[in-house]
Amino acid sequence: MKKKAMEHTRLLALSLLGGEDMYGYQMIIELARRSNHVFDMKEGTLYPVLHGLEQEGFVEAYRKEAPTGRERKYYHLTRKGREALREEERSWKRYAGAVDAVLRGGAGVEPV
Amino acid sequence: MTRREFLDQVLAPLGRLTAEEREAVLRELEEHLEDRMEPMLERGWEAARAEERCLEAMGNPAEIGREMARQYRGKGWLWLGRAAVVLTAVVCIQALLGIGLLSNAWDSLAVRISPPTTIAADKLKNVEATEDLDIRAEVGNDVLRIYRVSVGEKEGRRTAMVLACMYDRLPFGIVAGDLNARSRLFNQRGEATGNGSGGTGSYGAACVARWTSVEPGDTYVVWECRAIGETIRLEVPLPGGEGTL
Amino acid sequence: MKKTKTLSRKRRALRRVLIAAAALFLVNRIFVVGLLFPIQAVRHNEELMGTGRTEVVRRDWDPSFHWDFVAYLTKSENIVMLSGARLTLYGWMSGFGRVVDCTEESPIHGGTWFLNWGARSVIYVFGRVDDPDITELNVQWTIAGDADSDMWIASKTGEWIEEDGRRYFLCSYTNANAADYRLPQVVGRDKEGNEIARVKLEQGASSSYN
Repeated sequence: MKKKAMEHTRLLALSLLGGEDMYGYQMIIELARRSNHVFDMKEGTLYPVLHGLEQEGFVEAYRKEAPTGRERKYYHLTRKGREALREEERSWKRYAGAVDAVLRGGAGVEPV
Repeated sequence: MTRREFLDQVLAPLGRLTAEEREAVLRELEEHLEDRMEPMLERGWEAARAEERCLEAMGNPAEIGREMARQYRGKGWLWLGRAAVVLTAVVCIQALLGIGLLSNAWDSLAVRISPPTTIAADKLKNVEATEDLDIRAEVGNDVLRIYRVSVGEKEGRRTAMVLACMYDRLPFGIVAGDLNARSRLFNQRGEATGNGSGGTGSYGAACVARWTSVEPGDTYVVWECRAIGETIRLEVPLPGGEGTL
Repeated sequence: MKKTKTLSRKRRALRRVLIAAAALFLVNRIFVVGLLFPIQAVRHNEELMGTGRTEVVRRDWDPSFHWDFVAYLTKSENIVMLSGARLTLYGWMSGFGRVVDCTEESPIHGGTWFLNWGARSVIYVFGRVDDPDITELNVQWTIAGDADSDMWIASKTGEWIEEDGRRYFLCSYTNANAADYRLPQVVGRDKEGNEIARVKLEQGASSSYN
């Protein structure tokens, strides 16, 4: 189950970075905002995921001054990371579509 | 749990990371806590309470540490990088110790731009004419270049002296040794009456002078250079053009 | 705005390897030192002797003589070359050597190389045999101070090296006193043991290391 959670976090992190370069805390805020606070993940678990992506070459990191005036570690999606994001997005959509189809098949059988 | 205790627990499984990597992990987590606590403090939270709350939101520190350690399992790149640093250091030390060897590189360049014209300059008296030339031939991997011819007097005889240099085709390349012993100068009658003298010689370049007697009316001399499997012969026109001598 | 990149292990390692390779290339080219492999010293020898590219026929490494010295017998169409490669503070370096020109027709082409290294020395005899009838080779020396006694050292068929249809030979006498060995000759014999070729070798090339 934990492994699953890691993989989800990976996809979410790649997806967040698909738009712009961000630092860790910014990603947590953005994730909560976009998911309407549904994803209430443990914040610290984001960092091992980011470091893993960095070692694999999916993201690059650099230190830059944030709008708050303090220096932060920003993550940037590499070309390799963008390809991985596209791939993972596809397989996630397949998976979600399949779950959806199964649920629609049992329509009307609302749990009582 | 205090912030210190939390971070210590994260760091505990990270023994295999380099100090630099550990420092980066620590710094990033501290920055996260800083960013997260600031708005709470602004809203009037008590510092200790705010910290406790933030640490709670972070999750289990031991688990974060374990997961983090899993991301840094690849030792291969680390050692490859270290080996490269050692090699660079060794090579730089060799370069420093061998600073004198730069003269080879210098010779190799200098001879292309301006070969030395002072070789054996004192051997020829009453110089009648001197001409700079540029006659080149490839000898193996090297280039033989004849760059000056003079006519004057040596030991009472009219003598032509020719200067030649040799260098590798590539800048900084090594030139074949012994140009001095491999070269001879013949006059129009096929006589090699004089020998010659070696000028400079190093890994980078070789320059030598050769002379032979000439008679009035002679128009050329021949430089011969022996190499493995071949002998190069270059006709060197005497200065002043035909019939002036 | 100022950006400082942080690097993953892989990127950092690759960057360091690149820097090391560039430093190595520069030092190799410009200082002519810092060679990583002994064969590069042979390449240097080719340049010094003006032989052009040669191929290795045999590598002779005798740690009981000097562990940091390797002799290479190499060949091309026109020459046979014996080169030394020494491991020094500067990496592998050319230990010079000897070239035998094989352009002129001869049943046997050969050369000697005397190498002094401190108290130890070695004498190499090497070359190429072009006469297919020769099946046995003897290297003959005249020992100093004794004009009548010849010293015979045989180098038999089995020790020859066949490469591309040509036959090469290499023999060495370790800790031999070079001053005592004179007038080297190589004698070729056919299957019946009849002498069919006798070639005097040029003596002279010698190198000294400290």
